[in-house]
Amino acid sequence: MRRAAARVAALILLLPATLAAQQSATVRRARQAYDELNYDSAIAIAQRALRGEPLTRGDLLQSYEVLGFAYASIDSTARAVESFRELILLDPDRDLDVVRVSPRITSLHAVALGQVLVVRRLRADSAEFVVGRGRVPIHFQLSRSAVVRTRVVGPGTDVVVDSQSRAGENLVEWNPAAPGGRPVAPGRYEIRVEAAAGRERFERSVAVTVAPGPVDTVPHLTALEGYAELPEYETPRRNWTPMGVAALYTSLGVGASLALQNQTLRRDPPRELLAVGGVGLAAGFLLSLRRPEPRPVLASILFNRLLREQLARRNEEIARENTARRLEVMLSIVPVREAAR
Amino acid sequence: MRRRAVPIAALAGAALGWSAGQVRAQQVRVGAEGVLVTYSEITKDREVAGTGIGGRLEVQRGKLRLVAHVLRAGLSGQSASAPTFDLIKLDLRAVRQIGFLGPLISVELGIERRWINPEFAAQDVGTVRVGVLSEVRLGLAITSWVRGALIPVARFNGGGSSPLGVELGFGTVFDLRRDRLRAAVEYELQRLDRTASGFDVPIQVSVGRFGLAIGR
Repeated sequence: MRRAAARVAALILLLPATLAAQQSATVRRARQAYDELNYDSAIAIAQRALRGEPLTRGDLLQSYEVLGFAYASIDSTARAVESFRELILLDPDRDLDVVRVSPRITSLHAVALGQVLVVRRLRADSAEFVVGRGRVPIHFQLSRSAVVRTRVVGPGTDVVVDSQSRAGENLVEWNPAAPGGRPVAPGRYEIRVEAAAGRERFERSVAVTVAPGPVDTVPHLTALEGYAELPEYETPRRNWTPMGVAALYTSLGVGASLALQNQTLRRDPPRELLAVGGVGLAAGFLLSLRRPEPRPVLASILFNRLLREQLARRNEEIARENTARRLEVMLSIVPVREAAR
Repeated sequence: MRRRAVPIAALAGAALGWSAGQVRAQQVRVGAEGVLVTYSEITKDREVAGTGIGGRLEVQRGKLRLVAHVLRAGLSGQSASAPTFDLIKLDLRAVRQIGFLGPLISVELGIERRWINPEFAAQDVGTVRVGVLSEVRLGLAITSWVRGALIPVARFNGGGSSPLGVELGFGTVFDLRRDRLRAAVEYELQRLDRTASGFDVPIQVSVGRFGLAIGR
């Protein structure tokens, strides 16, 4: 919608330039007459152009637009509507610039839109999905209530996707899967929207290409998110208990020996007492200085074991999933162009 | 007997009714020791000291342990009144861990015999002692212990008596080579307040042992 409005605005703004590049001289004169507010002359020139010359599509659009604008300006409502109807049938997606065009003209254009049966803004969105797990969205607008049938025609395929009756915005989804769940053949497909109301009929189509591809496999995990293995060994802090206990026992022995000595026989501690006491204290001190051996942490070992089991289980699931994925097909659907009928 | 080491293990095992196979099945350690001895008798002027060598035999089965020490040291003193003699000592001890407390608390029963050469240079002594032993493991390979004992019975070749003697000891044991080799340092003090003919003639012996033992 936005694209069409931009196109119209660009046409109006760049009219002189485009006219200079593409328009017939007659159409250009008709436009010029309208711009000079010479409506009768603009109508006459435009009609002459329509009757007399072979015109390009752009000239036709310009001619009918000039006619519609001019008739609306001279209050010739019916003829204005008629001109706008022709304009809409030629270019259903064309919208008037509501900022630059008068409300009277835009309202007459809307009246004309309500009178004709056209399919507007037909488009298919790009999509990429695994066969059977996605659909291609197809958007279009219906100018008025009608019986609408959406068909997809392509290599070995001619299928009615949807059949409905609804004015305004419509959304249809196409599942590009053949019976049995197999993907449709790769290639170019035409999405046709056929509208019918009474004796009026309008058909429009848009092309897409379908290309198959492999389905990406899931990589195996090396770690579970949010979890990390814990160290299974820890080095305890230096322990001074051996030093304390050795000091306790040694001082007990030395102290008791000194206290128990017969003072009449000896007062000083004998050399062997000092030697043995010193060795005992040194042993406790050296043992406390020694770096403790790392010891296993049972809780961490169990946690890591559980983590590895979970990881293995998850990787098994991934392997099974990848096996299934390798059998699947990824379809890429890309619009090619829009063909108006 | 006075100068020869007695096959204590066989005697001890026989005393307990063990067969040769049962003896072999127990933990048995044999070792050699260097000793420092200080011997005091009557007065400190008669104090003698010296060094020597010794041997050790240890047999353990469950909570029961039999230990035998033998040493010979040459002692001499610095004063003129100090005698010079050789001391030969034989020490037998049975240690039993107490229930769930052992080896933190063990009881021991021991006998000791000392010979002096030349005779009467000092007193030949025979004692019986009863005591307690406490052991604690400091780490993977080191054990500290301390013990105390009362000596209710003491006999002297020179007569006299000692109503109650005491003995103290402490030491450290180092387990090497996966418990097949042990190094040990020990200290022992024995005090006997002997009286003879109404005179106080105390005896005090302190022994320091530094040894290695093998076995398992």
